[in-house]
Amino acid sequence: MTGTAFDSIPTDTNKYVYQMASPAPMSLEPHGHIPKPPLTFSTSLFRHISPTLFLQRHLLQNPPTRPNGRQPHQYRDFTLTTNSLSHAHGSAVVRTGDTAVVCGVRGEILELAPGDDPSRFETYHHSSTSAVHSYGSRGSGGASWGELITINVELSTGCSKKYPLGPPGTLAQALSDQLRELAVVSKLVNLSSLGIYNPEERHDPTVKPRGYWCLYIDVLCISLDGNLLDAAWYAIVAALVSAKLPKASWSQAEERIFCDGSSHHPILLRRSLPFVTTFAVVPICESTGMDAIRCSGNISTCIVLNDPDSYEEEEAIETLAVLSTVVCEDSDVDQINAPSMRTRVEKIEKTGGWNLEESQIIHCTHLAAAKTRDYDRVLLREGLDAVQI
Amino acid sequence: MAAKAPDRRRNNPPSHGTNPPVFLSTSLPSSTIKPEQASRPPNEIRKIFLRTGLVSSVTGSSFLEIAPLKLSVSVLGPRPLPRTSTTPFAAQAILTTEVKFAPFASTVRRGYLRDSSERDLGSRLYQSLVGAIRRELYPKSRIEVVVTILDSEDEGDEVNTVYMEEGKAAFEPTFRDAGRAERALGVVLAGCITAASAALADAGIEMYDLVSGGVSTVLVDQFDGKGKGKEGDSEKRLYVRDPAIAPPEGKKPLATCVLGYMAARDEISELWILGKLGTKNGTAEMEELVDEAIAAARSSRGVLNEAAKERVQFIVDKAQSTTQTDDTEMTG
Repeated sequence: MTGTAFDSIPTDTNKYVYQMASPAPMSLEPHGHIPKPPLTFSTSLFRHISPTLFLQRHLLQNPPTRPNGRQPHQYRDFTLTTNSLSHAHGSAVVRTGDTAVVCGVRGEILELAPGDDPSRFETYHHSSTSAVHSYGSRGSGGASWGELITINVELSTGCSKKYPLGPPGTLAQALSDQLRELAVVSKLVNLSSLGIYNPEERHDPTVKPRGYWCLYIDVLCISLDGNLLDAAWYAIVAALVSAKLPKASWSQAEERIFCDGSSHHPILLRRSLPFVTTFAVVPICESTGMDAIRCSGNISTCIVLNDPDSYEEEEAIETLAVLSTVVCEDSDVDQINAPSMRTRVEKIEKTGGWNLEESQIIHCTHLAAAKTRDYDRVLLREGLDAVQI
Repeated sequence: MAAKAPDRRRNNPPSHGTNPPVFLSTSLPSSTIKPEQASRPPNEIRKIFLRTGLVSSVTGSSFLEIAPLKLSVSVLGPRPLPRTSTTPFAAQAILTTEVKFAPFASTVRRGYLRDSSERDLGSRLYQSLVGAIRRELYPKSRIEVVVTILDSEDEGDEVNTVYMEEGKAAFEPTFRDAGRAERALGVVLAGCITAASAALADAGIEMYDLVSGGVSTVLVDQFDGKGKGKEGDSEKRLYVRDPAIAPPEGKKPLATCVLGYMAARDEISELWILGKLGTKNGTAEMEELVDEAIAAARSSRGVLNEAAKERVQFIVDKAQSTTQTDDTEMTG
């Protein structure tokens, strides 16, 4: 708790004054008396009374520091643990700061009826705009049955006191949809690798699969402190990389699909794994006093915060999510730690206003690239590169 | 899973419905059946990992791990009851408990909607905790206890294994013992009780005593076939504290006792005995079983005390360090 410069001049090294904008002292006493000292608060109280101003005063410091002590571009440390659950086929626990998610991947078997067209399952159904998608997926009349990859986020786990218990609310539904869309856009899983065949017909390339592995990907948020999208997506990718499905094959004698617990069915993922990085954009008002509290003054600049926590998320006026991937060629495998590895942006999603400048967006893509390299490296350190193609 | 109406609030699988994988008994690696019990004496409970205060944005939380069982508990509140015209006046705090298995927590995937066993666990957890909390100190408020089970020990792959007989699969699943699922729930409940009282203590909610959970099982020798139909009095009973779900080789579980126990007051707040226990010898067997469960609960109480102590120490240390450095009380 040092270096928090508020409205007025510091009177002591760690004593600051926060002055409510009241040029004339609010006193009923006759003029001429010594004005009362302005209203003062402790920092923790200030944070509750005027969160916007509290955040802004922090960011106006030199160098700009967030209330949690991080620099604007700095993201929280994250830890990854894979395959710690006994029943899931693949699992990952990701913890970034005070956000913790558990992702479990579980395969179930979808048997095809004789007349079914397998190509329906082997393609990702693109729905270019979210409006069309939400109409098709959740609208009143549309078919709302999904595809082989079923991603759901559960927040009703007591992860935060702000999130109510019970059926999934707006945030959980939006996140599930967002993650599903990311999986579709990035074509994360090679869907044709999920096919289950009759081993006697396998040599014939024209033969159709008898069934599919359907992957249920469930993300449970255990502790929520902002930026759930990054953590959930990272957990999904890590859980998929670590997943081991049992070998399944069609048994002609029994006319059904059996699994073999002693060998594995590989899930083929993309070669270069994509990762998402989220930024929050908070406004900085130059005006002081009540104007700043209401944020009614001109927003002169805005600051981009990498990996926002829930407090910063609430103050953000815009968010930016960048999906990027490390491009890696065969020759690069040895230099996987080289900082100069090339990265590619696959998707940028921005919501909110118009304050973010082009140069800031470009800066964000660079930050996202750096984080993507880190994600990739930690994933590799876990020794999980075995099943990538 | 027949195709019912899709859940509008979630992403759904293809409308065909999916089935859990079915294994052939010939293909299962032998390692799936682990005789864990053998390495541990019957009067010793498994190691417990219990940590509180991991979820920062709720009042109290705890995380518990006993071998495969992993669960996380959050305590929300005490917070005011919603102000609606239908809310009755509550002189005491209203406690709600929710227990939910993660979809990947058991051998067969569970849906997101609470099923009957989860509701049952929730109500039993309520019973075991409600008497321990000093609810009269929190009028017009509610306390919510939410348990999320991330991983558990249950029936195992037996459920979806097809046993081959002479090249032909027998489609009737054969269970080694019928009360397995209930016993698994009992072990989960004991973990829930211990973890929930740790979380309540972390939340700073006043209680008469901490409640710890204990489980015990009575086992008998298994007979081949139905030859010895009468269960003789000479059968040797083996009492096991904190049993593993798979019974040890050659043994058959008779009954299991799960209880919530307040050690300092020597009170049982919840008692659940499942299975069959004859009354031919009076209630001696029953009492022995309950005593064993109490002993198991006493052992887990030790862990509970340590977790509570650790947390208090942490808070005291933090308070001391902030009073020294954080002098932000200011005037102007």
